[in-house]
Amino acid sequence: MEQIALHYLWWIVALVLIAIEVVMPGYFMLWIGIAAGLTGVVVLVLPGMSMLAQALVFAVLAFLSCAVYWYALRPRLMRDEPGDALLNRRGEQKVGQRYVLAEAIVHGRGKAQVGDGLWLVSGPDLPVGSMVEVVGVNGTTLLVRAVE
Amino acid sequence: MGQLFALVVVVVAFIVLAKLVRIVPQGYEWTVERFGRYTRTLTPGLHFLVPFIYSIGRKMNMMEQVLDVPSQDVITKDNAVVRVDGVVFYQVLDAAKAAYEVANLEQAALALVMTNIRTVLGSMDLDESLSQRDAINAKLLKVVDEATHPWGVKVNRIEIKDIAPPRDLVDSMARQMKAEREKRANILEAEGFRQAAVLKADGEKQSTILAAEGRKEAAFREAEARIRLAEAEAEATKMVSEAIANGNVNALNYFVANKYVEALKEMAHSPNQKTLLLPVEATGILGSLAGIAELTKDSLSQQQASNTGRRTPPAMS
Repeated sequence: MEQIALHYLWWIVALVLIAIEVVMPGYFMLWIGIAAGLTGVVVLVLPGMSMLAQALVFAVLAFLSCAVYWYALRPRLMRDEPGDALLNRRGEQKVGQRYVLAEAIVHGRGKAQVGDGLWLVSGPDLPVGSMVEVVGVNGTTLLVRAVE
Repeated sequence: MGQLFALVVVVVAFIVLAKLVRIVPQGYEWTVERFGRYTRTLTPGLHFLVPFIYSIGRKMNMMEQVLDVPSQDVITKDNAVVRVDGVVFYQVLDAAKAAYEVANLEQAALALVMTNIRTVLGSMDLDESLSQRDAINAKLLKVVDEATHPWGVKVNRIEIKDIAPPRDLVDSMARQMKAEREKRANILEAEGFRQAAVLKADGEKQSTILAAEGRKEAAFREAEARIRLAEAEAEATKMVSEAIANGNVNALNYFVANKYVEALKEMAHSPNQKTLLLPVEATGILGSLAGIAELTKDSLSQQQASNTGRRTPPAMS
């Protein structure tokens, strides 16, 4: 009877954890909850386990479920995520854009007019007013190439 | 005892898992340190970090942020003290640099902006500083943006919010403007009077010329009329004398008598009580009547008509 109560206890813990996951999204609660649910199943299948053994089984399963998520599920989920990788990344947003030089590039450093401000650019030496295309970003400096 | 240990195992597993999974919210980037040394930056999303070895260093806000520049007293080139405040918009582009290259990013940026406001305004006189906000903003942006590059920060915009000269200076500026406007108004008024006078004189001149021309024209016409009248009279006289030459002189008398009687009638009818009827020589009129009698007699005799016993009035000599 006590064992039955125990595996029910694990399932209760599992449901509580999953409920917490719903209220406070953080991914791992869900997986720990699943681990608790599986521990309940193990306790149901193998009755008479000591509490310590149950706890260890739970710990191992928790790590395993997280690992399964990380290595098996996550790549698939990431594929479906919208391409908002450029959000909050002002520099990367400018890759492929074309701008006009406001200051000549001398020794690989100059400035381009971007919107109503100036950005540091680095690239081949070019005179003022020439068109450049952004090919990459390095911190606050845009890497550019000349546009024919 | 075993149960307690089991509980501890569960709790530890829980804590380790909680530390293993890191969720960086959108708009932030966290730096990762291994034994206190920066290794990499976590972008927004889910990350697994091995506890005990890796730890989270700084949580950098990657969103564009607004920094209020508190108002400060600045002395302009022409020694006017003005109160200036503003806003700075900046964004961290390189989380690691912003976290480690500068100790207190906000404070540093603020100090930089405030000192540069003093520099830029100190090189301008008051009128310039009030009218050339764009230039001030551009200068500030250029300097501050350059200076913050090593910190991985892009300053997008610096705006001077308010430039407030002291009260008495504002008053005198207002007075100056008022005087300026009054001067313009006076000048315009004078100009208006002058133009009006000129126009008036011009009009008078024109009207005098026109009147003279009118008189000249009228004189010409009048002369012409008189000539015509004289011609007509001459013609009439000529016709009358011709008629007299061809006919009887008494025909003339008929007309005269007619006019004479008509004139008398007019006088009698005149409503004017001051009309004075002078004694008229009735014999003259009667004489003319005799003339008419002669005329009729002549015409009758010419027609060879028989006298039907009509008594002719006695002729008057």
